[in-house]
Amino acid sequence: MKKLYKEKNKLPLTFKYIEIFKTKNVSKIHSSMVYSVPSEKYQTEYHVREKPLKQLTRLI
Amino acid sequence: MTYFNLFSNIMVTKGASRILVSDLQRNISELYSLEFYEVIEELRIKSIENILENYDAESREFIYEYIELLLEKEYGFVSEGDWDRNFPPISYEYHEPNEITNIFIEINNLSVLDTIKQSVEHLGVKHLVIYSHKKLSLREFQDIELQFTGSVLNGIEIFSPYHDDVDENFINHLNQTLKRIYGLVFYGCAKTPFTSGDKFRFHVQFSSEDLKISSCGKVNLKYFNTNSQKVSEALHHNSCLHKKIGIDVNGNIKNCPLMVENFGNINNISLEDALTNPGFRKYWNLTKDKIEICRDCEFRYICTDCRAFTENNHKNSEGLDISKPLKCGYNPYTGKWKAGSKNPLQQKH
Amino acid sequence: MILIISQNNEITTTEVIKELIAMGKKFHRVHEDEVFEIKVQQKRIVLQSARSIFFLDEITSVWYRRGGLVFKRLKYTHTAINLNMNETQHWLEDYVRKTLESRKHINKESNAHINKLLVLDKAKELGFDVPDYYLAENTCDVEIGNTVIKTINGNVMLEEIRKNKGGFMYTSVVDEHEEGDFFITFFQEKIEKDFEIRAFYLNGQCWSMAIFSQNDEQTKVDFRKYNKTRPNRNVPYILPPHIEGKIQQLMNCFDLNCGSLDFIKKGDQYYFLEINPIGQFLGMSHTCNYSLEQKIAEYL
Repeated sequence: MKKLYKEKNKLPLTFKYIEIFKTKNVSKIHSSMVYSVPSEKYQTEYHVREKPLKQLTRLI
Repeated sequence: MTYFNLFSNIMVTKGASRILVSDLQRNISELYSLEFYEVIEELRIKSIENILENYDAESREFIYEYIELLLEKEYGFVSEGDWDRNFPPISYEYHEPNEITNIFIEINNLSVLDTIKQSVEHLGVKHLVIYSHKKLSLREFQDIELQFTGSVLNGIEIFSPYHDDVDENFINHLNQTLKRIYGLVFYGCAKTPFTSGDKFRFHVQFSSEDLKISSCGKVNLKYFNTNSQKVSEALHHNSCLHKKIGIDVNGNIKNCPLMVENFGNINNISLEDALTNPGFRKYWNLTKDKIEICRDCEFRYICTDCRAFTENNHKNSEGLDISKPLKCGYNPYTGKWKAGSKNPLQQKH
Repeated sequence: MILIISQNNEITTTEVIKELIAMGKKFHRVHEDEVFEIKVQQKRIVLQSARSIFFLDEITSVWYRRGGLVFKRLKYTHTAINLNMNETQHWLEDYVRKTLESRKHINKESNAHINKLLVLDKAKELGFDVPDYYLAENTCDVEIGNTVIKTINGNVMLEEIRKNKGGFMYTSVVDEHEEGDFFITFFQEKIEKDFEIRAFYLNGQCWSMAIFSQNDEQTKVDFRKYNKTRPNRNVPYILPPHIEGKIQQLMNCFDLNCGSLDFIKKGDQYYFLEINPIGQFLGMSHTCNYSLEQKIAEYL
């Protein structure tokens, strides 16, 4: 494993079994994406923007 | 002896002609026969071997199939010796710390939003649905967003009339600036200006109908949803009016803008004050179980009630309207939808 | 007033705050990027950052959720002075931290992370069933196929392990012998489980959830490899009193009044796996309808 990661020192066996995943942000935008908005009352800038869990109006 | 344990987040709702099995963890509901209901009920009180004893060879096949189905869908598991008593039922208590979860407001101009802004903060409102009579410009949409900067709101939905400026460019512009808005519906749109797909931060819909606010109250499959929050609310409270405030175009504060009774006007009193009126909450605990016909319907916990448009033929001892919603075309006694009522596309405009 | 030490981007904190507001309890939320100065006003200690200001004595309870209190440390040019002032500032900060930790609290910054090895030893000592574990530098004594390896630290995520890629160190089965030696690794007997249990502990009470991850190959060994298309079945569960009693003892040994504990159920046995003092519980709270956010707010 230390060879895989080009390390001088030994690594534990757990490094052999690491699952790799892409961190590059998927640039696709869609309406169910998680967005954050600020909220003063809750003292955060990451208040979740989300759709309601039930239909609030049924016009269409 | 083996025993079947139904998982506690599987809810079975018995209707007059069939049953609905709702998986409240995976958010799916499926219809089954009343016979299946009988089997599920028997599995609750007898061991699997006991049940099979009472059927002939042919019928036993059906029982096996039902149990296979239950296991295949992961609706339960089998235990030896006894049911596993370490699996308690889920409490379907509905808990919501905020006083009001949603406001449905009918407006003619945006200044009205300024009047209710503070109340929205105090009441911890989660969602705001705006029905605008007048066409809204790009600037006006952005103003709505700005009005609620730093708000407690989790989201805003806006219904407004379509106009020629609303093209792909317009929507793209809004896509850059709108953060709190999760949905835009443009009504009275003769020809959809472009195919939106789902590529904006909010959902965009164009409806050819000239939607009036009185178009609300529809009951059909597309408005049904299965999730534990919605269901637990429906079990204990009115699935539409609970923790809702409606404000009509004249500023009158009501349970719903389409209901008649009003509890004050936003130009004279605050929403919080209107709420203190004891009559305001009288419909909040009217569940589907107390409404005529709906109480026998298997969909009663996944649909959304409507008290504004009803058949108006039953009142309870407290004078509350307990008639079935007018715009619901389903008959639980036959298990059939009135022609054109199940699928919204079939409805006449 | 309740002090919440958390992060700006932390939904669980917001959910608890909603409960606090409904209960009329005053609170202040501190973000991870705040830098505090210790000041004094009329003989009372004041903590001040760019967005916060409060008196130390007005804090009645503290919820340590994430992040931590960061203090501004003044530096001096003269070496001797710097050394001396460093110590002075250290003791002031220490006073503030320890005073806050002595108030009513849920979790503390000082023990938000614990030693997994010590926890396992103690669990065994208290009579919990614990799958056999040991440390090793090679696979000579390892039963291939029947043994799993885990990280010794609490962090399973490695950011940017490769360019634009992160890595997860999930619990894995050792499927082949390894040539040569490696850095000390944690090995544990693999238990063929019926299901797993996660228990949320708060001040003597437990709320548990059973997780059926067995039928799904993806989640069979580590249920954190969430299957989004067909989520594992998660349902409320009640641990037997003797297990809940031992949980309380174990938590007390580590001076913890809140945390999540993981178990494996096999037949009639409950195998203890680990404690996570500040793990996620919102999912469990919603799935099992336990209203844990409300319980936390009630306690503070």
